[in-house]
Amino acid sequence: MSSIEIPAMQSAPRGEVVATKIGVGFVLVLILLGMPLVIPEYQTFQLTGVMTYAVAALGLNLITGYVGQVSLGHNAFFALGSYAAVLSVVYLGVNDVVAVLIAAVVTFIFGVLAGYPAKRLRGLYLALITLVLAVSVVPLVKQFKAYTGGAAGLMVDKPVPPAWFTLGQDAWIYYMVLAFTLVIFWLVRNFVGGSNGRALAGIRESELAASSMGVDVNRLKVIVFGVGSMLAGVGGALATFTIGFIGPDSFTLMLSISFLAAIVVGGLGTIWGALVAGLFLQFVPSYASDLGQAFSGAVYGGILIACMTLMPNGIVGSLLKIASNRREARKAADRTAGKGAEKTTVAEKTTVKAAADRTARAT
Amino acid sequence: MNVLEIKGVSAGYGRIPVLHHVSLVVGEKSIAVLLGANGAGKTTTLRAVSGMIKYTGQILLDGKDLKGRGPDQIARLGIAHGVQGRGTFSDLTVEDNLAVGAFRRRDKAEIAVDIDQMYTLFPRLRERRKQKAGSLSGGEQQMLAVGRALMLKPRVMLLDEPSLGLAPVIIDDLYEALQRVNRLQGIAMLIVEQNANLALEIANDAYVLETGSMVLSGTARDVSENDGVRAAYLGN
Amino acid sequence: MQYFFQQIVNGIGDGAIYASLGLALVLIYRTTNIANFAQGEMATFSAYIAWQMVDWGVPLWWSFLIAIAVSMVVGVLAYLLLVRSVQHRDELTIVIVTLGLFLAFNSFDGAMWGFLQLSLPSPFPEKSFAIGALRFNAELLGTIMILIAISIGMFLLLQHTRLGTALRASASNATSAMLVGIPFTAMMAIGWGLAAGLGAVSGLLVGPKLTLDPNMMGAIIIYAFAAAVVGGLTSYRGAVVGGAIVGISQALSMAYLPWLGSDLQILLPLMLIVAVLIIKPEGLFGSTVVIRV
Repeated sequence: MSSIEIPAMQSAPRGEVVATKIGVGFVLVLILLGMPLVIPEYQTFQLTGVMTYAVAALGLNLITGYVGQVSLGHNAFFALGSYAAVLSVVYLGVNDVVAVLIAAVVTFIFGVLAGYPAKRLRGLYLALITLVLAVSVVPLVKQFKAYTGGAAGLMVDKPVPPAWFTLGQDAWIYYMVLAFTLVIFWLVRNFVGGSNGRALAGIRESELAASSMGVDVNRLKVIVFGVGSMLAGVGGALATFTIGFIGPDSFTLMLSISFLAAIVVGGLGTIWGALVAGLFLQFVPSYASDLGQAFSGAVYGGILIACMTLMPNGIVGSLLKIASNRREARKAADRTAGKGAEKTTVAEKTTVKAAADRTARAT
Repeated sequence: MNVLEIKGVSAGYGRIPVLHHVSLVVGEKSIAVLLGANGAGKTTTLRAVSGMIKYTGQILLDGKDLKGRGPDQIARLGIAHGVQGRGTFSDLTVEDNLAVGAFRRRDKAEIAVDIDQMYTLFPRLRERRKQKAGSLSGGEQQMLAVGRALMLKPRVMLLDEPSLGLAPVIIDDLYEALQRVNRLQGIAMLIVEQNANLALEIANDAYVLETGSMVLSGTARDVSENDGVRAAYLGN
Repeated sequence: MQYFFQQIVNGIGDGAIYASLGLALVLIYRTTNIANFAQGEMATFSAYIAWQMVDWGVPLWWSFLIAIAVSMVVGVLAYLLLVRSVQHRDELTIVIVTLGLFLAFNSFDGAMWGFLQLSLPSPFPEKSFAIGALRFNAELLGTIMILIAISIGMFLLLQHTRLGTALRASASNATSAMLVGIPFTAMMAIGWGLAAGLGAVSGLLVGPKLTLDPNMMGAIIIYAFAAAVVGGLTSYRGAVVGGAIVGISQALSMAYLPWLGSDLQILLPLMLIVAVLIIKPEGLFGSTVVIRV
């Protein structure tokens, strides 16, 4: 019926863009490496917090932003990772990095288990199931008081720097978290950049279309849920080692909602949106709660509603859109010269098509 | 006096134009039929009339401009639109479907009488009155859709391919019923059909749309004698 | 044995509260196809309105009626000002917006009335009756009677009035509803208003039982979702039966499974949600349409 014209791919500037991106990334890594040398200890500690939140937010962004599954259970995996890491240090005597890796394995397994029934549930049902996870955390932690310290929580030994490291404990933790963060962001970027990324986008747009393209939709959904949950676990474990304390009050449903608010603000389905989310989670609650207890809820609620109704692409998504609109505009400007010719072709096509229709009907 | 007047209406979906300056009238108590191939713009014409899409030009009901009114307001003014396929409320019983059709009316006693009349018109519906509409067969749903449109006691009724997918016997019944309603209650009708024989038989006037433009109009008899129409729509 | 039946009776009393909030969830889900995560917080807000009225010296029953009326208006406004603009967007957007609404109500309550616990007087006298060996206090009987009244009222409204038929028609097929002259937006807004009214009733029943604070409905909304999910979120009967199931199982587990402790009691309704969603997501009362050929 209709003929859709596919514009030819403009591949020329691609190489330049990649080069700039690598350059920007390199500079960013250098800045991050140098940070603890120039900023005070407390700010190093805060930046570490930003990264731990960003890792967990990246996990939720995979599940929600890239695949479009609503998960309210991110707090549960954040908590599970934290406790797994802390308990393996206490009971297995492993070092902190190994503890974080154990947390990753445990949360990945539980994530896959939770994602398995989730794969055939529509958005709302998944939200309800994950809501169940979200509200189970606090009672479970309180129940297993002997291991978790119950409502009062536990003090956790922070990672201790080796003798040759002279910048102090906060900087040491900073570098440990930075290493995890860089590796994770790099891995996830490659994961969503390749053919998997297209498959994920396909699932979000239309599962039917994706599966007809040969994507094993269910398998991919379960894997993404597992990986996303794992990142929550890693983020949780890192956050707990950074703070030096673990307790159920930091793992309520409110944490999941905050994560959701943060990735919505940062930009659903963007890597850098998770970084914005990390900044948001580290700084907004403390400033908001300075203004009163009710205010932090109001801030989150207002931000969620405003973003979804006014700025559904989030900060990063909106910036990307502005950039791509600019590019489009430039392309359009380049094309205007050839436009007159195009018009006549369209007109010709219509007449031809009408004539063809008439003949078809007559026969 | 014309009940419905469509004057120079152009409309489309998004940026794709479908109708180009289409004009037609439906006279008081008369039946007009709108013919055309798939994609000619028949359904779009009906949608413009019932306020479901935006258009340029003018559409008048009893001389009153309909522009800018929503579908619910236009329905309350007296236009009933039986959409193509299943326009019934599948979770509601047959009886509730008919009752909802009378939403714009306040005459409770008469509504009950009219529901009974629909059952006389379509006896199958009486048998199924307590069943959910979703459980009816295609033909029964079509009858229910027509019955529900009639319950509105409209000034004019728009019907989109009422015979689509029905067995020939049922189509005959349906058209007989439409004709009876038109004669007894004086309800004007604008019927869109691909299967034109029966429609032209009961119609007073006929219009032919081709790729969004009106190419032929006249009395039903004149149009049915047109060679092109005979070849394209009447199968001989 | 008598102890067992007494637990069941008590469970039904709590179940009636979950059912009334569950009915609100079903009503909104059926009319607007939205699971309103903010329903519980809206109910808390209603309880605060009642508290405020009582505090200003308004008689108790009048306070409750005013609270219900105000809640209904707020429900209508929530739809018109906010939900309406995202109603036809994807589920993710809708879930996020209702969570935003949840936070908005929660923090509004906190800002207006503080986070300290307040007490809302009970509308029921402190009497109890014995039927055989079972004891019924006035609160229990009153709660059950209110649920029965609500259920009958909703049945009459939805099945036997012009407005009810129009509401059902709009939920069933929005386009066709408009084509018979039913104002769609008004129906959706009325649906939200009615649901807010139902939620208000549950809030007013919970308020005197627990203490009034902004997070009062935190657990109750989970129980209500469990109740509603029993009916696949679409069945009013399912929500009432589900409420009873949740209430009774909760009472029995507290009586017979004391080792679960007060913290793990919430896991029971949660497991019910998971079981229903995984085994029969359309609910135990989901209406299956018979297709005739």
